[in-house]
Amino acid sequence: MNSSDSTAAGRPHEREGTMNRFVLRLGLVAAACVIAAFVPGLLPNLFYVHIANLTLISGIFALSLWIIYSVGQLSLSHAAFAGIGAYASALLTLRLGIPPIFSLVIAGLLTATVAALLGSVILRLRGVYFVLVTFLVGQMFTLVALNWQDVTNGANGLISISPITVLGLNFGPRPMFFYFAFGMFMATLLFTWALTRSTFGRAFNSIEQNIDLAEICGIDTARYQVVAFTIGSGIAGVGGALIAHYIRYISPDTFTFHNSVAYITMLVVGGRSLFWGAVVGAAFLTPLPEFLRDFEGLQRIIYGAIMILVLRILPGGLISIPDKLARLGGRK
Amino acid sequence: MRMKLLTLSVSTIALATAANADTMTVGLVAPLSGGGAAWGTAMKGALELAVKDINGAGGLEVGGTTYNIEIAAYDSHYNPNDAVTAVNRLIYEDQVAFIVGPLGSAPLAALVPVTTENKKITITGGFTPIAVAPEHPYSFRAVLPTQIYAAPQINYVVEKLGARKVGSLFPNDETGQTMSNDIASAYEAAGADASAVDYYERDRVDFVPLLTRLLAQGIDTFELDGSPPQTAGLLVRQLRELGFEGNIVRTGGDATNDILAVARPDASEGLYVHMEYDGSLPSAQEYQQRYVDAYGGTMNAFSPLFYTTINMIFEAMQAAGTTEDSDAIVAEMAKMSDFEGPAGKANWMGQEIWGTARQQYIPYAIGVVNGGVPQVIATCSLDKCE
Repeated sequence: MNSSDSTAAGRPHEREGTMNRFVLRLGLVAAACVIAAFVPGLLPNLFYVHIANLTLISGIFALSLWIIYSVGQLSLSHAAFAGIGAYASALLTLRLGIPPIFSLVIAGLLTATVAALLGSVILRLRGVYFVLVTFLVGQMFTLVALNWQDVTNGANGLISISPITVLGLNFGPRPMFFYFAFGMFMATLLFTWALTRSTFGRAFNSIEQNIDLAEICGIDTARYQVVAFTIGSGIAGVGGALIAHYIRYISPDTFTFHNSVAYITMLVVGGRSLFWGAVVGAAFLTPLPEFLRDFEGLQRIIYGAIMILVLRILPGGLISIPDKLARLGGRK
Repeated sequence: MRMKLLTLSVSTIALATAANADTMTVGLVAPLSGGGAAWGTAMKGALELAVKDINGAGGLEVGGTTYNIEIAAYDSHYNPNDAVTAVNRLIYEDQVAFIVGPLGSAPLAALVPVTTENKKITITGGFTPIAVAPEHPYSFRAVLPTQIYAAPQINYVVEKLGARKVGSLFPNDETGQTMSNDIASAYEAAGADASAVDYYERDRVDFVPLLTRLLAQGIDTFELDGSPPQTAGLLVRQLRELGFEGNIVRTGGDATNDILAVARPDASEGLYVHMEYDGSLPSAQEYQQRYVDAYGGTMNAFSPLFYTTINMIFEAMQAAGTTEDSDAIVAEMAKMSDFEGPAGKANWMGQEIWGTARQQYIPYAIGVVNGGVPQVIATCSLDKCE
């Protein structure tokens, strides 16, 4: 049997395997949706629904940051792009009366445009230089938000931002917002998954692994990096807009350098190697301070200690737990 | 046997529920760490002392039920995001009767939609007009904002010190910008030049570059405004280290003890400070002694102000005969006047300014630090200090 025969024989198997994996993933998504439908009713009270909502939004931020990380860049301006989206959506709603559901989309596109323009310049830098420039972008956002008072209302922030309504359905109350945030989170998750499996995803991965080699192989690394930065920042803009319409108040304090660091921490603690590490990181770190809130004064110390412990024991992040356990069990 | 166990379990749950019905939780959300901690801990101390008084007297009797009071206190870190999460927990998880806090304008603006929606009374220290806006009928303010006392106090100080050019540094946030407008316009109206202004981030500790720039503009007076207590102390120390020999004035929330602790008394000598109330009152000194005995160290003057408003709410609950109907409690609070507290008689004001009367007013004073102790040199009304 020649090689072409064996390839032909292998194809039905491969197709079957691919189909099985697809069905399994579809089943997982369907199961997640079914479980989510009951979550607001199962949680003890609205405080937990609020935490679930914040966790979903954090998941969107962490996933979008992972997209940028997947081309080997670490952005410290992620909160700034979330802020641009938040201010854009809030202002479109407050000043022009555009319904929040449309302003969310416009905010995402606007943020992506800003990121594309900025990215085409700053993505020529690599490593620590890129990180430093994104830090400055974050600081510039804060200064503009503070000092462009006619538009942003300065440090006073924007109040009374409308909640999201779709076809008369009000997503302002916490349980209703949960469903909206869950939908947005799932859309981001599925998009990120599809992206990783696309030509773009494979190019992103090769750039992250070895940018010089990727370039030699003919991959337009500059273009792909701008694309990843644009997509990631655009999604962050939508996430920021979600916060604006959920909390219904934003100020420059809502999107600071500390928030950008928090998103990076989610990636690191969850695990950077796979996109769902970002989800695990967000799900672990967003509610954690609330569990520690009773330890008044020690809250930040315990939080820090847990982080150090996780990173010391699991340098690959929380998603490496199964591998670690398997190794401990002697199966690897 | 199984039936007996079930009956026992149900009885235990019923007893536990009955016991909970007689417990009322009061929430606190304030900065308990970081730059504003001096104010936050003073608020917490006020709540703890008020609760200790009531529980010590057998509880709060409202509508035939006696309530033992518990406290749920969370750190806002002076941050709007943290304050919103904390207040969600206080309302939905702890089911508090009312909330002491938040401090700071941005945290207040962020959480007031949630407290209004849930009809929770808040006692805030935020200087933003949102704190007493008509659309937030459950929000009360215990501390006078600079908008009220800036003009009378600055008029007095400018006349007394002959200040011509005033320099000031404000926190770069909503509170700082609100104060900046109030204070700068008051100095201008009093005939002083207050154009030497700069802003700083709240976590900053090295002010030498900013102060050097201000000193180069030839200022003869430095305004500490409402900078957080420890920050104000650092500003005084660094100003004196840079050789500034002019007057230093504090037209902002009480920070005198922290300034003295951080800058040391010799650097603070002659400092003009805003006093939230007349500290020479025997009731004020008695409260301060009680606070120091309980917590050690020094007391921030916000404490007796919050202690007064907290007691007004407890008394209003008794008068309304309910701990849950916030509208009835607010209506009873509105009727109160000349309420005796450790800082003096408290009344509501603000109808002409904000269209509501939910601002607590206690006559305030101006003091000068003399030998490491602030001495009252003028007592003030809404119009003037003398």
